[in-house]
Amino acid sequence: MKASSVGSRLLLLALACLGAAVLAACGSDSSDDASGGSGGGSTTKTTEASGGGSADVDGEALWAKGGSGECGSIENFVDYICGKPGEADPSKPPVKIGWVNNQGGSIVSLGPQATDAAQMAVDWVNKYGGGIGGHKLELVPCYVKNSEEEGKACADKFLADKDIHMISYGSVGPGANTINAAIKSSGVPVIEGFAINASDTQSNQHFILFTASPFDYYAWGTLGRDIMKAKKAAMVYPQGTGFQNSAKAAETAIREVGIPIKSVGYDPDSTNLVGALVAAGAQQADMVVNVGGTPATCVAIDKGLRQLKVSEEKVVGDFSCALESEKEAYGGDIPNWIFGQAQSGDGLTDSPTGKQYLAALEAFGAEKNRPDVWYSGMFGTMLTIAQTLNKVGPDKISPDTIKAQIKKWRGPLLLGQPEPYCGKYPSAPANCGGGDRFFRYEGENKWTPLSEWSDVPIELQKKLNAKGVE
Amino acid sequence: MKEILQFSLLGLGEGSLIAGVAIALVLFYRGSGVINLATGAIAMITGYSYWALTTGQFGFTFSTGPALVTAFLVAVAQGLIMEFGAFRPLRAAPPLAKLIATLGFFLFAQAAVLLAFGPDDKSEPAILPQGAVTIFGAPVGYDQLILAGIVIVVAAALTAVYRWTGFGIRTRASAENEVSAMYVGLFPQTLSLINTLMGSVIAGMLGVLAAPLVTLNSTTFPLLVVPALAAALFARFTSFGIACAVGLALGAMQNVIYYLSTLSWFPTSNDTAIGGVNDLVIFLLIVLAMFWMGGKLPGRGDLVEQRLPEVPKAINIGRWALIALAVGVVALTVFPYGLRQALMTSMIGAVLALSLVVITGFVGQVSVVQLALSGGCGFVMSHLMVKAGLGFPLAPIIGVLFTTVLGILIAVGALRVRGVQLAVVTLAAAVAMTSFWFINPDIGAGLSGAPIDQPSLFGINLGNDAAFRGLDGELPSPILGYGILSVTIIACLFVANLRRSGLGQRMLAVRSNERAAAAVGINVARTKIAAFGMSSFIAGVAGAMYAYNFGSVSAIRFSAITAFTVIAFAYVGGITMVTGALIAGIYATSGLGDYVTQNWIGISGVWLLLFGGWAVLSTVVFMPEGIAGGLRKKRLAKERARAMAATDVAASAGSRPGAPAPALVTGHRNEERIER
Repeated sequence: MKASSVGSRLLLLALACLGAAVLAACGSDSSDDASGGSGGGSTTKTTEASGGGSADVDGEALWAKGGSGECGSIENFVDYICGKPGEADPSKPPVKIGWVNNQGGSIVSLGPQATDAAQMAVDWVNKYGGGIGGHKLELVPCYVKNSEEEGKACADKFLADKDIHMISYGSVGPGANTINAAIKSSGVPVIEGFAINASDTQSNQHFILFTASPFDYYAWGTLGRDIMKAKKAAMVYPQGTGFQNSAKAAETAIREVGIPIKSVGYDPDSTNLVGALVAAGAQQADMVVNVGGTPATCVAIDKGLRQLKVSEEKVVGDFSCALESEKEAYGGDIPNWIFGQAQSGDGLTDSPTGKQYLAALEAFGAEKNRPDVWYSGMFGTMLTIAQTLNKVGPDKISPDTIKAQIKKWRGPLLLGQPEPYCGKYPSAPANCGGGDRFFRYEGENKWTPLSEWSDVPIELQKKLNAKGVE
Repeated sequence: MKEILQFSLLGLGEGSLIAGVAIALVLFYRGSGVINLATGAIAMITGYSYWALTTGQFGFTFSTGPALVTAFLVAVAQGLIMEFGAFRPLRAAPPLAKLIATLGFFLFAQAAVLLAFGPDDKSEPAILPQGAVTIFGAPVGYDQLILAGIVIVVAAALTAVYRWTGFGIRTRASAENEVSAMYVGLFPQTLSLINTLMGSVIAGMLGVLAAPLVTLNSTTFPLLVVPALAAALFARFTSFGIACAVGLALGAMQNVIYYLSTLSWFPTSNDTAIGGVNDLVIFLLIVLAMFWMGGKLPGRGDLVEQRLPEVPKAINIGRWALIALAVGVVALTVFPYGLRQALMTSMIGAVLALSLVVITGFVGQVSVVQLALSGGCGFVMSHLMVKAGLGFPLAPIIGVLFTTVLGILIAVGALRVRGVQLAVVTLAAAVAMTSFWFINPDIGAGLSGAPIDQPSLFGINLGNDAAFRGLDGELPSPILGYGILSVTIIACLFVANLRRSGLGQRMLAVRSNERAAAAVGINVARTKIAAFGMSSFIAGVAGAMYAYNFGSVSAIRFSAITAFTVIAFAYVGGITMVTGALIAGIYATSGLGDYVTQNWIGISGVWLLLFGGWAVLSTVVFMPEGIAGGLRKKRLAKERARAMAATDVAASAGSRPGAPAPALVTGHRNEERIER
């Protein structure tokens, strides 16, 4: 090999590296930050939620004097966590929680901001709620960045730390299966807000606080009949792990209320979904259902519907198509569809809970994230975890005591449904919820609630052998 | 019939994208003999460049014209980097080395885009006219119609250029016989450069024009190469017209299947239309087409005969096995838990790489399906455990045997193809297995990752949660590690001895020249099938160990790109040698290499991917025979130099003239006879 040829190759490879480095330097959205990316990732737009503006609640004053002292009440967040007003004692050893999220790598995450949101909630607990019996609550993070296998390293790390008695997930798709398998024999519980990984719902040591799929979709028939007044429905869904069950649930619920429906599964790698929409009869239907999906398929559905001139008013999707991070891909804003959320939506309103939530966001300079479902979801999740740990007591925390406590819990869930019940549905023992609340997106971060909480219809609950239903 | 026509038209947009990438693939192959896996990545980078320039991402905004010109230059620059950075240095390297170099570029480009622009999807402003026209009742977008028109015109123009112009005729001549072309005064390197640049520009401009139809992200465009490879294979990597037509047809077929899935007779799984039919049909069509025209597949007339690296016989394997056993047991016992887990993962990766040593290193068959076969073993094991209550050792034994039979069936279907064409056929098989089997809720993972119970025998826990936890007392237990170590050593011994056996000799003969092998009485088909069977068996064993190690299997681990990455690292390690497989194991995902890079050097996340892509690219360019082969070559060169020096010293000291150097007659290196 000639020296000159080696030199030229080295030069070219170096140029390629330099090009990448320049691109990286010029880029504005690098998310490889191990600390979880910027909290501002979801805050590039103005965030006037309906009833928005600054909170007229003096959060610090409210939380400092405490509420009625009723443990678990959502009237006062300090009461909700069964805490005591004031800061946690930094001299006491912290109560640690293993924290996992998909972020910082090539995995397309639905919630890269979940870590910042969860950390803000933990900071609130430590600053205003007295921590866990005076001990600071601490997240021990581990990120699954590029591959499913990295989850095993996270599980091993948590199991090796004898101070970690439970784990919480943010948005964990890839990696969850390996973690779940590795922690199975240890009995360490996982308390998470939403299950991105479908198999989490099948586990006896997971507790998914907000409604887990497919139980949210069982409320979509009620939406079609009572709110959309639909006579005919069309549904598309990605043919991937987990989504088929969601689609089946939505189809069952819609048929159950007497609305005929045609459904089509599409290849999640498809770049154009007009064919799938036409096959499902989207042009003729007055309820077009889009189940699940990734940011890319959500945008492809939107483009397809526009091409077919299907009115946005007829379309219903779930929150995976309404993320702040997707606005740019949609071309600036989320489409004006109806979205089903496993959250109460109080965080968007000026209800007492909504005002307190806004005050909490303002206390940490995060008010811009008010419409972000990950912020409200992780806030509800972390405060519910704090409630559970406080009920157990800092000296008695163990995997078994945590599991026993959360199994007894019947809500309400902060910023979530009024009557959660973990293990209500035998087919998904980890699921604590059922149903959805529906909002129409009006553009520019304005959301209009279309209904109160829509639970799974009683007839369907019976068919699903739900516990506590006669 | 009307509906078939309607839905075919609705597939124009997707079909145009596949067709465009397929045309670029054919161009790259005709010019440089390279199956360029980075074709979609070129489209991605160029598309991102245009988007960034027109949306002010760099602090300034270009209008459409200057942005298009700059994007064009970006595409040209990528072509230049590939030609001079990889294709030209690898001109005399095996086709697999070139393919892997393009995979290195693919990984590098993906990581660079993620670092520069983040993981969120981007929406590029429309360039082509918007709106739709109704044709046969199907609302087809103007932009899709125009894009399809552009792709068809490009295919027709290229066909004309290659058929009737001097440049085209020279390129065809060079592709058919590079040496003769040089004798008559042609410049194959220049022709290769021009074709590479044309391919880059076509892929790049497709990325710019089509980005508004889809979304810009780090996966959509790069992964278009998978269906485009099928279209290019139908076109025998030669015909632009067929590549274009098949690309458009694949888009149409996808949409027709959407329609068919709404009909009552369409098969269902878990009460919903069965998924993955499109990928399965593509695979079956490819197998049929290859069976029909396998003998007509073109081979390029290259400058020098492009062989895979040498296949030396392993020496002192018993001694090395004992040393490995002792070192492995100590390491598994004393390593901290993170390093212990990484070692176990690396050993599993090494066994998977051994399956590639057999099928690719010994027989020259580039199989992309090995990873999917290993996954298949895991899924079979899981179903046997959950539905039939079978445990260790019956479940893994049946799983491995099933995998072996499946591998043999795929081999029978692909007997008439070889080399990189086989890579495309097995890629289609791998994609079909993933989307039709692994994702299926009834026969694959469905809702969950498929669970795997830890192994136990006679009440003794042999799994990674066994009571003995090593010196640090943490999970995973070294007990499973000891099992993995034993199996790895046995697999290494098996492959090393296979190389020495008569069957191994026949495999090498088939690799060297199938016709010559047949002429001396070797049954080529039987030898290939035996190799596929053994290779699949080893892949199944790796899959079983993987399943136990991670406690579950799920479809996400067996994507097409992961399969190529496995081959890339097997090649980089040294695909013809057992030591190469062990080096490849170090590079396994979450293996020792990852552990050291992340925990000791501090490179992780996207930077790890960027580093991985660069490592693959630079290793292939500077060590085309892989790390193990390169190191061996250096060692032999040193020994030769020492022997020469010894001869000179002996001669100058008045020794008997002509006496051979001692190392050449007495050293054990004599055993390392090189057989091609």
